[in-house]
Formats: sequence, structure tokens, C-alpha cells
Amino acid sequence: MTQYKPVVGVSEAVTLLFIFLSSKVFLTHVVFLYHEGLNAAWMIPIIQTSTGLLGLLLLVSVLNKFPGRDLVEIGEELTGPYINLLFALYYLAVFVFGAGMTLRGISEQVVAGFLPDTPISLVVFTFVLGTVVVSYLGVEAVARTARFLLGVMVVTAMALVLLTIPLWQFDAFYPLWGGGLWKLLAGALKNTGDFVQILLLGIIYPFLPVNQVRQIGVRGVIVAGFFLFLYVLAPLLIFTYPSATELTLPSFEMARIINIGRFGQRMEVVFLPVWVFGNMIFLSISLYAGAAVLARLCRLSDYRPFVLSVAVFTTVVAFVPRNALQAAYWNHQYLSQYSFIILAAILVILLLTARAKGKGGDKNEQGG
Amino acid sequence: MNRAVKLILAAALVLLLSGCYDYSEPDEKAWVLAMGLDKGRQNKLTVTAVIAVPKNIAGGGGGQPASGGGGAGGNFFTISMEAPTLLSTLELLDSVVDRRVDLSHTKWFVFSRELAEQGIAGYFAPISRFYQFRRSSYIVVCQERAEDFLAKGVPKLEDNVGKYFELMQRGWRYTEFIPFDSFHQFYLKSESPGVEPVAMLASLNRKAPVFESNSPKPKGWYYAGRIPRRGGGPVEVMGGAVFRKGKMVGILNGDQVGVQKMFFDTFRRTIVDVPDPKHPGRYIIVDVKPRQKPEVEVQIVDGYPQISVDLKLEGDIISIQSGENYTTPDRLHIVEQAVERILLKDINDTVAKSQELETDFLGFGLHAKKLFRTWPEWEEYRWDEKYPGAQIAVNVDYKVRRVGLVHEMAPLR
Repeated sequence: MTQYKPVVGVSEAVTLLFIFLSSKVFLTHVVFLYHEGLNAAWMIPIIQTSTGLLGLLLLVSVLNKFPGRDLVEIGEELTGPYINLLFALYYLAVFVFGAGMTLRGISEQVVAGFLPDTPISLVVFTFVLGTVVVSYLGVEAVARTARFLLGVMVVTAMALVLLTIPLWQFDAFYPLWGGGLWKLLAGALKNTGDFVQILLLGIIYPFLPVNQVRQIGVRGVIVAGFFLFLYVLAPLLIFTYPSATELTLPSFEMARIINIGRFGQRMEVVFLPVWVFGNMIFLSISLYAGAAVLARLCRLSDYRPFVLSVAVFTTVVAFVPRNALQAAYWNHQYLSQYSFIILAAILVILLLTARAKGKGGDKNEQGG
Repeated sequence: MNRAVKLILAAALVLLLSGCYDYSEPDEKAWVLAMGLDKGRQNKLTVTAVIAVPKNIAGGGGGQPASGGGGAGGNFFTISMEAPTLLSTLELLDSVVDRRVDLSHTKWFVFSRELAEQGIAGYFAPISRFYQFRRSSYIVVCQERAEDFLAKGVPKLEDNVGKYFELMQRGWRYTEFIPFDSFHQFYLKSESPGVEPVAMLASLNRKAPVFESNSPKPKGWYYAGRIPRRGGGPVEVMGGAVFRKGKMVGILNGDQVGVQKMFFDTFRRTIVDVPDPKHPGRYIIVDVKPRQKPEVEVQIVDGYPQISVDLKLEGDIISIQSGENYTTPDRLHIVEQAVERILLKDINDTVAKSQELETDFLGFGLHAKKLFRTWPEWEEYRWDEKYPGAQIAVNVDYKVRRVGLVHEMAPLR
């Protein structure tokens, strides 16, 4: 798409995918899982990860039939330009809507927790400026930035959880089944959209190492599932049900409550980089992927002219919700719930069409 | 050239990092170290703020020591304002205090007993939403009006009243008489079925004698406002205020707070005066520490809970007033049984009090909920209604580990 073909290595791709899937744990998102699973909400990410893996295998089976081509190109070949337009608009919606709500969410978090007197527009602008630069430089730049920051982010994210261990209350696990087994399963299935961002693999597929896409996807989904599980579980153990359902930003409250003696307090600033970097990488990926989808739709070889327009579009979407709460609810209602089913349906249609038309080869990957 | 311009532009961006909207100088803030709430005289509430005077905490300058106290030139001052809500007082305070008032370092939220008995749920729950508030602060109930308590509560040893508030609370590590729970635990217990919170009980010292006779009384019978003493600082913190559904329903004395902490595994140590079984009027003094976490088993029989508790404790003999030689392996059990008897009495009294108050501040419900498969089943059981009818059996097992620096004491002649 750009002048030269970028290359994304295995570890960079895994990092991209898992950050893209799991950065939502730093926002309000996890609280909605508490409403579904009550005190047993920690089981939901485990079920979600399983469904995410199934979706991933479906995606990889479609992609592997058309080596070197991304999902938009595959869709066009199999279903034609008109039906594929609908599919591509759905992909675009996933990226732009997700980015818009995340942009609003992280900006609101910065305003609520750190810069209460700063206008939200200035905070949003700062995030957009940084992410536009990174995404303009391309998927390779995004992937390498993500890989470069991975160590800091993982260590900080783990430290945030580990430092709260003295506050864990293990009686919070009981009654073990929360709202009941069926409610848990229903809650997990309703929120499968948490893994809809596996769609990213379909967009960056041409740049990934041949024969290793399944391995990348499985690793990315499992690591993301682990962090989702951890950041659903930890606030439950610290704040217990039902109080945990009241939190607007569970990870922020976790950082605020760390108390190691008289001098080990007020540590939320230490964790600010993980929130900011995590969400900025998410936004950079979204802007790039959105621009890439538009470029494919317009049959242009360069995605770059679309980065700014997608950034503007994302900013507009970010300001559509009237308040922070509405942004969090919309993200949950329109992205986390059910969106995965649409993706799965598109993938099944593509797979069946390929089979019916006898298009695409069958490539068996090693490992993964 | 091009590169140089880019560098200059990039460097100029650094200027933005100072943050023009949220710039905040510590010497332009009025740090509120404690907030007090009373029933209002001219409005719904009287809200008192304890505001630090940092220049006096840091020292008088020129080698002068920091000045203590809350009066003129002191290291803090208090302002009481009449307001409809706690947080609206912040804006009112900005009309009176030259610096911007900030709650980020508030350690204590003090409620007068009068207000606590009317109910404080409407005051403490909403502040958790406010970004300056921290859940690591503490809820304190004082026996008198909070405005008097905070104005007169001048520390003796500390220049920094914030440190004083923190250290007073941290006494929970050294004495059983101070509850462990911060706002965080208080809030969770207030919202969770199966457990109720206990707040710190504090008071200014009482001038009049507490007891009329000098008959022996366990020290753990005391609580804030009823500690017989002369001298020391004006503030005392001992015992707890028991809450149910946001209202204070009773007081725990020092020993009862210790029992509550034993059941939550937040008990660290206490010193117990044990009546000498062979020498009436004399005491064996032992210290008591937890040996294991308490083992609590709950069963539901005929719809009501049957609870059995095993408390395993250990400790040292600190002193034997009678000089009786209990410190041989074959006689230590006499001391151990005497300690078990006195601890069991305290524990049974506390359990009885919790049932009498119909308030499970000992947290048995947290063990009972393991018996239920789902949360709706647990809520339907209505633990708070069943708890007063529960049968509770406690077993105490105390082991002497050390006998101090004297072994087989010879009697005085």
C-alpha cells in the first residue's frame, strides 16, 4: 500500500494484537462485565477468550485461502464490490467507532483524574496529534512503537495488580457462580465483541510472516484474554461485589488505593504511562486500520491521505456522546455486544462463498 | 536548516508540558487534613475543615522550631461553616481561605456521634465519587461535636497534624483497641450483605472521673471518652462505632474491637491481664498474638446458621505478679487455660453483643456465603435477619511460646 511493503515480525504482531484487544481494560469497560457476571464476572473473560479463539480460527481460515491479500480485497473478490462495500463499512465502523469511544474514554479519564481544569478538547487534540503522527508513519511504525513500549507496559500493568494484593479479599469469590451458570454464559456470549478487534489481523495480513498468522493470532488472543481476566478479577477482589459495579475507572481506583506505608501512597501517576501508552497504541492502530480500509475501498495504493480524515472522523465520533458515561455505554452497547456475531457472519459468508465458487487455495500452517 | 527549525519547534512543544490550565503550585493550595461533620446550627450541616499551615510545620526559620497547636501561629487552623452538603463547603471555604482548598491529603472524615446515630450514609457514600477524595482515608466517630473535637485536638508530639492523624490510626498495629478499617473497608462492608462496618471511636479527654471506685476492671473495658486518665494530648482513640445500614447502632469497647479484629485476621497483638488462678487479686500478664487465621465453619440447620469458630493464638508470659512458678513445661498449661478462659469470655461477650445489636460486624456472613451457589440465592437467604438467631460456638486455643527473660522465679522473702 505504501511505497515499499512493510514487514511486521511475529512478536510485533502479537504485541499489536494483544494491545488492540486488551487496552479497553483501562477504561470503564470491565464494569459492564460485573453487571453480567456479578461476583463471578472473572469467568466471563475466560469464556470470551475461547470464543475469540474460535473467531480467530475462522478468520485465519479465510485469510489463508488468499495469501498476500487482506480481508477487504478478499471480500471484493468473493462477493463483489457492492456487498463488500457493506462489509468494509462494517470494518471501518469497528475501527472508527472503537477509536472514537476510546479517545473520549481516555481523555475523560485524564480530565477526571489528573487535569480537572483542562478542556476536554485540548486533551483530545493532544491524543489525536500523537496518534496521527504514529499511524501516518505506517503499520511498521505502530508495531515497532508498540513493541518498544511493551516491556514498560506489561511490567507496569502487572505491578499495578501485584501492589494491590494486600487488599484482596478472597471471600469475594463466593457465591462461586455469581448470577448463575446460564447468566454467566449469556453474559459472556453477549460480550463477545470484546474480541472483535481480531479483525486487525485481516487488515495487516499481507504484512505478516507467511505461515505464522494463526500462531500470532492465538498468542495475541490468549495474552489479551489473560489481561482482560486479570483486570476483571483484581477490582473484584479489591472492591468486591457489589461495590465494584459502582466504579467508573476500576484500574484508576486500583492505583489510587495502593498504600504501602506512609510514603507509598498516591501512586496513580506511576501508572499513567500504561493507561496513556496503551490507549495511544490502540488509537494509532485504529487510525491506521481505518485509513487502510478506506484506501482499499477507493482502490488506492497509499493509505496515508486517509489518516487525517479518519482522525477527524474519529474525533467527531468521540464528541458525539454527550458525556463520559454515554461514551462508555455506547462502546459497550454497540461494540462489545453482538459486533462479534456480525464479524463471524461475514467470515462464514466469505468462507462459504469461496467454497461455492471454488476460489482460494487451502494453506496449512505449521504450529500455532 | 530544515532540521534546526524542526528541532526548535519540537523544543517549543515542551513548553506545553507545564499545563497552563491545571498548573498547580503547592504553596497556592490549602491542604485539608481532616473534615468534620455535625448537625448544623444555621444550615443542614456544620462542616469543619482542618487546614495545614505548612510554613509552621516546616519550621519557624532561622533555627526556630516548628510551632505546634491550632491557635495563632500554630501548624493548623480549623474553620467551621454551615452548609447543606459536605462538598459544597469546599467552595465556601474558598471564600474564606486565600489558597485553593484541596481534599487530596485528607486523612480523617470525622462525624459527631449525634450525626452518626441519625445516619451518615448520605454523606460518606457520595464523597467516593469526588476525584480529590481517597479511599485510604478513615472514618472517625467522635463523642462530642466534630468542630470541637477537631479544633481542640492539638497533637503533643507531632508538628504535622496530618502525620498525627495517620499515626493515631496506625496504632491498630500495636493495640487491639483501634479498628483496622479504612474508608475502603468501611464502604465495602456497608454495601455488602453479610457484614457490617466498625468505625474508629474518638473523643476529647474527659475531665470528670469515669469510675467511682477503684475496683479492678479490665483495661479493655474502656472506650474513647471513658478512659480514666490525666495528662497527655486531648484526643483519645479507643473502641469502635458499629454501623448498620449507614446508622451508628452501638459502641464497642477496646476488647470488643480486638475480638472483631481477630475474626477478620487484622488482629496483631494485645497484652492481657489474666487473673492468677492460684492467687486471687494477682495477675499473670501475657501477650497474645494470632497463630493462624481464624477457622470459621458455618452450617445452615433448620434455616438458621450454626457457626463454629476455632481461634488459634500464641504469646509470651510477660510477668507473673504472684511469683508462682508456672514456667515449667508441666505447669504452663495452667497459664494457657487461664488465658483461654478470659479470652473466651471477651469473645462470647462480643458475639452476644453483635447478636443483640442484630449486626454481624464479626463478618460471619462472609463465610456463610460460601454455602450458596449463586448471589441471588445468597441474597434471598437474608442473612441479616437470620444472624440474631444463629448458634455460635467459639473455641480458643492459646499456647505459651516464651516466658520472657526470667525462668523459674524464686519467691520474694
